[in-house]
Formats: sequence, C-alpha cells, structure tokens
Amino acid sequence: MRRSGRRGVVGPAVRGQRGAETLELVAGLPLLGIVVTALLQGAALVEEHARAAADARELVRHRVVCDHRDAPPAVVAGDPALRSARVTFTRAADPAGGTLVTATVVLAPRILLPGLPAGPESPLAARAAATMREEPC
Amino acid sequence: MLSRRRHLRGRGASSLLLLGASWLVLAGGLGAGEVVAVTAADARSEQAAAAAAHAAAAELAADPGAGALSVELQAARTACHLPEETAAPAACAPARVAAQRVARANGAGVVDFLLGPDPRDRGPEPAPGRIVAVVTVEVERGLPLLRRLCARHRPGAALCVARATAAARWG
Repeated sequence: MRRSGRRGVVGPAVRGQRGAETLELVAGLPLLGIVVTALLQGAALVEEHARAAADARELVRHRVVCDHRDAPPAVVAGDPALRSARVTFTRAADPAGGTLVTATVVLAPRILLPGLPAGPESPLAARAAATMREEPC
Repeated sequence: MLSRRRHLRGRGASSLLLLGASWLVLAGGLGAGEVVAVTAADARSEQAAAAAAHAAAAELAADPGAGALSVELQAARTACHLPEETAAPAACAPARVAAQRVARANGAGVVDFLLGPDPRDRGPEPAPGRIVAVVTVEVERGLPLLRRLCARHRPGAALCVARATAAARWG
C-alpha cells in the first residue's frame, strides 16, 4: 500500500526532467528526418550513376554497329530519362587503324534534399562514358 | 542520493547508446560506399571486356589475313595466346592491340587474350572465316578505404580488382 502510494507520486524535479527529455526527442526528430533523407538522396544518386553507365554502354553498342547507327538515343536505350539528359558521341581515329567511338551520358540528378543543385550542370549529375571500336561496314 | 545515482547511470547509458548509434551510422555509410565502388567496378570491367572483345572481332573483320587465321585456329595450330605464344600468326597481334586499346579507353587492362574457332566449326560442316575472340580484363576497384592497402600489399587480389571475361564472334 505504501509502495504503490510512493510510485504514484511524481516530484517536480522528475517531471521537469521528463519534459526536457521529451523536448530533446522532439528536437531530434527533424535531425533524424534529415539523416534518412540524406541516405535516400545518396541511394538516388547511386542509382542515377548506374543508369547513366548502362545507358552509355547501350548507346555506344548501338552506335558502333552499322545497322543501328542512326537510331535516336532515347529509343535505343529504352530509358525515358535520356530525353532530358545530355548525350554526346565522339569519334577518334585510332593510329593503329579503325575508329573509336565514345558515348558520354550526363543525367540530371534527382534531388530529394532541398537546396542541392539540380540540372545536368550540377556537380551531382551522373556522368558515364563508354568506348567501343566502330565496326567496318 | 540513490535517485541521483540512478539518473546519472541513465544518462551514461543513453550517451553510450547515442555514441554506438553514431558509429553504426558511420560504419554503415562507409560500408555502403565500398559496396557501391565494388559494384561500379564490376559493371565497368564487364563493359570493358565486351568492348575489348568486340574491338578484336572488328579488327579481324578488317584484316584480309583473318580467313587464313581461322583455318589455323580450327586446326589448333595456334590460340593467339600472346605474349606466351612465340610463333603466333601475324594476324594475332593487331587483334590483341585493338583489344588493349579499347580496354584502356574504358579504364581497364587486358590480362588474357585468346582467339579460337567458332563452335559451329566443331560440327559436321566447318568453314573458314569464323573466329571467336575471348578477352579477360581487369579494372582497379578504387575502394575508398582499402585503396592504399591494395596498392601496397595485394595489387592482384579479387577484392582490389574486378575481373571480367567476354567473347565476340567474327564471321
């Protein structure tokens, strides 16, 4: 009887501390949100890089094959993101013979954290290049 | 007195928990970075191997001596295994050089190069002019944490380099 009575009584000091802990928790929640968003942002950037590499590979493979050379990039790679991407092809003559073709893809980053630079000029943009030798037609 | 001690112990435990959680997040982030580096190097090595094998096949397509080379390969007189093979036919070297060039352009290095007969030529109707190029390349993974260790102690270890093999057919 005595014990239960003591348990039920909460002093002002303990109450104050509990309030402070609640405040700390509430203040910590946005921080947790930012950390989780940053992790998701990292995952999105990695995915963009993987996509850019796959697109560059696919594009250069088509560009070096005689029959597919004139296909438009977005159709070739089957990736709608390529429509807003910067795609460049460079051809360089190999001194030992043949021509090397390099496809470079720059995809605009998906921005989840506000304030980060967007667009293909952003330092976070996914850049990938792939080089293959042109087939003799 | 006892209550104060309990409060202090509780604070110590929560600080330890916070510290542990921070280390966990840090270790998780670094681990994720390593995983990304490993998978990116794997993808790059596969692309480089495919491009190198294709370059060898394209070189053979432009080489007038490739028909005779295919006959040599079918007869198993050579495998164009350079630089080990000393008396390899002259058409082998340009194909290997083309593979090396393209591999280098993709940030890789050729570690093994072989030419062989097309599987169709092992059937009842072999014909000249068909060659399969098999190229193995290596790409340095460039792991953020292990870069120095890989450079000094284990340059060829599977953890430090990504290796991939690809084949391309001509004819």
